[in-house]
Amino acid sequence: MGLKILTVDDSRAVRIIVKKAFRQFDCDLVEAANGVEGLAAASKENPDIILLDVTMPVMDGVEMLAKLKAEPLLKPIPVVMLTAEAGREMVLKIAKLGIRDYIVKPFKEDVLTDKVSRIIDLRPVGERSSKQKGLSDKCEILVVEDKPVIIEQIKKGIAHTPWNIHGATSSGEAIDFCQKQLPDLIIISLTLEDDAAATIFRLLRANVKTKYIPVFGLAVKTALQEQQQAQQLGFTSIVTKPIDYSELEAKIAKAINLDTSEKYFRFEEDYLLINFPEATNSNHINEVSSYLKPKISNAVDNGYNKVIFDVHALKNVNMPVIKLLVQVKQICRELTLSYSLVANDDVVMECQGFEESKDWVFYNSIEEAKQTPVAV
Amino acid sequence: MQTLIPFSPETLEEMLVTSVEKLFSTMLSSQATFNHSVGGEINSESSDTPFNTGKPMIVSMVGFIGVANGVVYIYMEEDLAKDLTCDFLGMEQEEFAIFDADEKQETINDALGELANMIVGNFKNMWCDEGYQCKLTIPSIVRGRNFAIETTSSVLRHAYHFDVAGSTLVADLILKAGE
Repeated sequence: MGLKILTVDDSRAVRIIVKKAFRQFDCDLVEAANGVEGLAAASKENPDIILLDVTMPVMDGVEMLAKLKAEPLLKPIPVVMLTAEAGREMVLKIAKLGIRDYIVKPFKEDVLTDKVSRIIDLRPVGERSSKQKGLSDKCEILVVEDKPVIIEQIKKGIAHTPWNIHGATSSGEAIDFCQKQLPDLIIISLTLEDDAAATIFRLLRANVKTKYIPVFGLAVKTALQEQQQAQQLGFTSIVTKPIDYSELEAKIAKAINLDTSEKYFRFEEDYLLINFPEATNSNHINEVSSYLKPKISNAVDNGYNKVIFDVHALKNVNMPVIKLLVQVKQICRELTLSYSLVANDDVVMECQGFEESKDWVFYNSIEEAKQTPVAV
Repeated sequence: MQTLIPFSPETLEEMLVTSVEKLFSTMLSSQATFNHSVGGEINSESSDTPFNTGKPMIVSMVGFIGVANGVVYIYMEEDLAKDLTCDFLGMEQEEFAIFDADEKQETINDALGELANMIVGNFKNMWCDEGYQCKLTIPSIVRGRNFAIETTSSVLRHAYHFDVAGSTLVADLILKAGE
């Protein structure tokens, strides 16, 4: 999965300039000309960052930002304002809505790319490893934490993965480790003494070998000041304690560009099987959504003519789930693939509560769905 | 009628000249050098046009509304407009030449609209920082030759002339007088 940058600006000229600024980096640009198009593109493409103008027709940037932050699935996407509107009052108003940075037009290309690269792991074209790691591949993760018990907790929390956790209890140990072996990802406690987290981070970013290693900050949920400082410094992401290990896994997978599709997609005899794991959450939905098009297109390329979506493990059905299922249906329809849903009675009943899904046909098992193809 | 513009003509000039020069030094490879300004308070309807060479002209305009109200027109000849568009978009002249007439016009309009937006945005942000809150309007474009942009009475109008790559660019500031 390459990085996606969504640029929302009514000026085609600005979108061209933004595109030009990022062409030397390994990322895809998605464009939208106003807030309405921007929200639609954000839902559909799940970008890694949004560059947002303020003054636009139809829906301006402030309204789009407010709507984005009110949508649980879209809320985490970092937003950088790129605008000619920069009066102090306007900046404060927008900052309150939650943005990661503010760039005033006119701007220099390198200021734009520099600010964006502090938020997402932007790399020059061709620098990323050609072979993408999968879920069964080993990854080396360094945890810099002065409390060994936390390191042990993290080891236990992700013990079911093939990832190796290495502990370092001081900045000296952490730097020594990185000189001997380059980790795939580093997690640093933000409460290390003498502002050591910031010092380690700066040292890592100043070294060409460690410059692009994703670095997570680790802090208790309520330590908002530490979290904010880390975000401003450019930490890739923040992990809060108590740690939600499912969320941590998803963040790690995304940060190190891991191919997690095998968790959800499997090619069987003559069909592509998509399934949700137990306790599906918004991270899973986002991941499935980001793989949908390439996986279904791949199925068509390889001669498969049917998609079965097994949703029986869902604990509850909500609008993001319905949107995802509608998206699958649409892609299958576009590619003239047949499409079947497998669910239990609870899921079927919940789906009947939504306008979009009230008339859908469900099967009780994959076997049944296989026998009875449904035309789309 | 006494106008209540909160800044002296010298300060207004400094604000607008800084805005134009900043745009050129940040996003364009050519330079804009301030040459001179003309204008002042206008108390009756006026059809003076600050820049008219008889050649095809493009004027991009962006207004600002709020506590302060006004508009800035950016005048230039079509040839300069084309050069600045290519420069702004990082496009070779040959790339631009293969566009059809509509595409050329649309590309120039969009680029000049954004250039005006950036100049006026910078200018009005200085007003906002001094407590005069206002918002930008969406840019628009006028094309033609031998035309005049008329003003109503009780406005302050200053035209700032810049030298750009052997040609002239004029930023025509019109401010509504306070009451």
